[in-house]
Amino acid sequence: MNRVRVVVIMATAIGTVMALTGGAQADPGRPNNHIEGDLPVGTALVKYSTYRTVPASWPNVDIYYDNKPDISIKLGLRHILGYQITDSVELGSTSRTYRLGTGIDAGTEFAINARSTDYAFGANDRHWGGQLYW
Amino acid sequence: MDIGHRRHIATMITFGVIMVSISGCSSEDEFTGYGPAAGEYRDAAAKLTLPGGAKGFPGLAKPEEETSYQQGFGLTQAQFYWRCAWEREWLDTQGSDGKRAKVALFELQKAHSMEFMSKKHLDDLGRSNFDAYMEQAKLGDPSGFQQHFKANCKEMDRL
Repeated sequence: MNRVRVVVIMATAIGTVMALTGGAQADPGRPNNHIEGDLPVGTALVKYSTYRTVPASWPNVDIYYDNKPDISIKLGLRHILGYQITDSVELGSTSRTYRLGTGIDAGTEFAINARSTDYAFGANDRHWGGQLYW
Repeated sequence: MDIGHRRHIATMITFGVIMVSISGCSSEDEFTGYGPAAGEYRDAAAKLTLPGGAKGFPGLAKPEEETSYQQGFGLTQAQFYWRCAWEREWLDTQGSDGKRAKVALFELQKAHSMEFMSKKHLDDLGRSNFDAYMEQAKLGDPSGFQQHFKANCKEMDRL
């Protein structure tokens, strides 16, 4: 029985560690991949550092939003020299798709800018996520 | 050592592993302010050479509002700027100055081992596009780098 308890505790620990150590942004090597990020405390604009490339076949960038933090967020697209290239889009309810950019030139490399619309406290869930289509 | 004692030690170790893991991936740890991000940029730029006659690295622009930068932001900004500068050098010289164009391609080839081209910072398509553009350039075809420069670098003089 004791051995069973230890195994359960270890399995729980390993599962927790695996869940918590997932990258702040998903592996960018797959098309239409999962994307997630954390927001800092406060209302600061966040500039993430993972870049994705717009293909010749599809000039739009969409996100299927499925993980909403306690605060509302806005996302925009930024190009490699640091300028935001789209208007920020506020993500409301989950389980729906939001268009983040349209008519973007093929070969454009972009990253995500994000901000919370309200002050994010340390105790708030500040993790967001979804599926990015580009 | 009895079973109860062993179980207690195992529980404590497990708790310790969890706490270390939680603190190690705290979301606050992945963000920096302007100072550290600008430092990342300066450190990366110091290791790079720009084409002769090009103006120096512009540095990380000061934000107009409170901004948090994910780790790697400053570094990638400097390295992307470096790539744009050498692409322009090659595009400007490939039809007129073979020696300078050859140096530009030699420099661009270094991108493969640089952080901004790693899987952590650029997706597969971006990396495979770069390989294709390099192969085209070696054959004298500027269309790949022309497209990349137009889509990504044309505003570099605004910095």
